[in-house]
Order: sequence, then structure tokens, then C-alpha cells
Amino acid sequence: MAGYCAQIPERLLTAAVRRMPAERLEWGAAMLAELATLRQPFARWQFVLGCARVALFPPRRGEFLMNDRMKHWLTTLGAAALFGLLLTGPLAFMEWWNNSGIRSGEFQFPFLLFYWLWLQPTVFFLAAIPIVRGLRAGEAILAHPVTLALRVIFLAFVAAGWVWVIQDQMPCFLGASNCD
Amino acid sequence: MQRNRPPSEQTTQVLLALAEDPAAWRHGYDLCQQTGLKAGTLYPILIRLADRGWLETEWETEIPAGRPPRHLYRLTETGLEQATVLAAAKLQAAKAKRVRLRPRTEGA
Repeated sequence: MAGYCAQIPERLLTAAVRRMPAERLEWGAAMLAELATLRQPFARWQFVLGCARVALFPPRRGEFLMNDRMKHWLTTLGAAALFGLLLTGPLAFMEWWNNSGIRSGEFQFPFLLFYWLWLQPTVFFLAAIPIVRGLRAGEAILAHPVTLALRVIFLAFVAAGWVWVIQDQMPCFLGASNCD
Repeated sequence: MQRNRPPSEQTTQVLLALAEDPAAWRHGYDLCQQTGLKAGTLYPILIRLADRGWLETEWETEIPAGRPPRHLYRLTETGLEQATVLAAAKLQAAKAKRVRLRPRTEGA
């Protein structure tokens, strides 16, 4: 039984390696060979979990070597879009829920308004993230004072614009009649 | 067209680890331990370095009984050149950071 359990990591990795494309099989064999040299159960499991991920999603041929920056940008864009969605989603729901005219199809849902309401926090997030990253990296907050001042003015402008639209539209979100 | 983006921190770590003794053949787990990277991070880097022609790979020839031959890695000449450039850049960046962090004593 103990022997069988000890073989589980090997079996898992073998199964994952079998799914690798032909041009990457050599690397799968390399991982299996490396695993065979490891004795400690924790090290074996840790190694297998990492390698299984590589075996299931190996780098594609022709993929750029230094694509980390692109991934980083895509993650930031995704996070910004999600931030915008979290702030705008509840308002869109309120608009739909409190306006029977929209639910019955009498009026059109104001997509353009919500696109604008989503865009503003998304842009805010994208403009604020370099400041946060700089601080987390140990950079002094006033290391680039002009850039910082411009960025803060822009952020304040975007935030004020968003709040103004929310204030203006709040009666509609709350279902007031005759609102536009 | 091939774009030249700066290598990630982890790729730099692997290149510098391999460049420490460029003639020596290294194996995956050994590199994991030296760099502190997990296998799931290290192997994609090794694969891409090999794709780029920066890494030479070979299978172990003298195999102890009871285990399969290991895959071995070392930098090619191009890889070594890149590692040298990266090491110089890293040193320069560290120097610049030290200068920035040095407290001002004038007028104190």
C-alpha cells in the first residue's frame, strides 16, 4: 500500500506528460527523469504539481520568450475591467430592477450610460496602479513629483466625473418616475 | 518579426544561475534549488530558452542503476552573452538604486 502511494506522483505526472504535444515530449521525459531522483514525499509532490501544470499547458513553439510583460498587462487590464464592473454592476442591477419599463421592454436599457460608468473606474484603476506599484516597490512617493501631480489631477477629474454622473442618475437607479 | 522584450526577473535568475559555471551541465531540480523557483516556473523558462537557442540540452550518458537518464542543461554562446549583458544591467540597476537611497548629508 505504501509503495503504491509513493508511486502516485509518478503516475500523475506520467498521465499529464502523455497529453503533451509530440515536440514537447522530450521535456516531459526530462521532468519524469528528474522526479525519479527525488526521495522526499513533500519535494516529490511539489515537483509533480508544478510539472503537471507545465505538461498540461506547455509553452507553445514560436511563443515569444519574454511574454511576461504582455501577461502582466493583460492581468492589469483584466483587474481594471473587473474593478469597473464591481462598481457599475450593482447600479446596472438597480436600474433594471427598479424600472418596470425596462423589464417589460417598454424602454431600452441605457447601455451607453453604463458603458461610460464602467469606463471611468476602469481608467481610474489603470491610472492609479503605477502609483501603487511604485510604493509597493519601495519607491519614494515624491520620486517623480510632476508625473505624480498630473496623475493625481487626472484621477481626481475621473473620480469627480463618475460621482457627478452617479449623483445625477441616482433617481433613475432608484426607480423614480419621469427621470432621464 | 521577433520582439526583444527585457527578460523577466525569473528568466534572469535562471540565466545567471546557469552562467555561474557555464561549462557545467546542470539539471532541473538543481536549478530549482539554486534559484528558489518552483518546477512549474522553471521548466517553461528552460523550454523557451532552448527554443531561442540560448540553452543547450543533453541526456545524461553515465546513468546509475535504477533510474532513467536525466536531462542536462547549459548555456550556449548566445545564452552566455545574454547572461553577461543581463548581469551587467542588474549590477548597474543595483548601483543606481544605492545612489538613490543614499541619504543626503549636505546641509544636514
